[in-house]
Amino acid sequence: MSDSDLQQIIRSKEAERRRLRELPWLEKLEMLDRLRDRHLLLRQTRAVGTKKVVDDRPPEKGKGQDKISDSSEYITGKV
Amino acid sequence: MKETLAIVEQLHRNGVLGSYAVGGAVAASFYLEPVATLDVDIFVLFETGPLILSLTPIYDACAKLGFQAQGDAISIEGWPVQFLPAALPLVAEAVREAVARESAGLTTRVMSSEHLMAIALKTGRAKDHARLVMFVESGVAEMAQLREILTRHSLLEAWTKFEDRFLKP
Repeated sequence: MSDSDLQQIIRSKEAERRRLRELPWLEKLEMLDRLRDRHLLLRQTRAVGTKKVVDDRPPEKGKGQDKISDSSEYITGKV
Repeated sequence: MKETLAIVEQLHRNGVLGSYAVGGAVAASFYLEPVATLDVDIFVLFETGPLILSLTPIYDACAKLGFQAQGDAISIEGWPVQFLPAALPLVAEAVREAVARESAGLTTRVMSSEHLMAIALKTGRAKDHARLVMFVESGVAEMAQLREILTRHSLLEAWTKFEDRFLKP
């Protein structure tokens, strides 16, 4: 990626942020509803997806069963 | 969210809440691009200065309307709302000078962008610094007014540190 590509991406992101910033506030409140719903859904999905991560590699000799690690501590709390 | 803020304003008009202002991420969204948040912060001024600051009347009034406490918040129309006493002088000033916003029959009161910036600076968590950077980059705040607030509340030194750390290349 060239420097001009990067600058173009930055300009495009800035334009989008400006567009969102300039929306009427009632519209922004509706966006907050949607953002919150999406955040909660993602958190729920992540919680289900990361609660038990099963390492399904074949066990090394003498090491017994598959390892199961609990990575639920990575689930974030309050935004 | 609209329904939630309408109920808060209704509580104010019914005399349950004194002066109030929306703060935090929801208030910031009035000036910046909206970012995901899970609750609403409502700062309340106790004008009469009761001996014991109590939020009980607010909780009682909400319960009568069918809105129940949920941890340290009250769930109003699906949003957890935290009613927070505007105890610090900076926050009390932010509530007193809040801007009334009206549109399509909904009225609400929102802290000014300059006060939100000063409070974010004082709070000083990573997400507050991120929000401050967004405010600066957006250019929505009157910097002279911000400087006055920072001076009044002894935050100029903190601002200089913030500038050095986050705004200087």
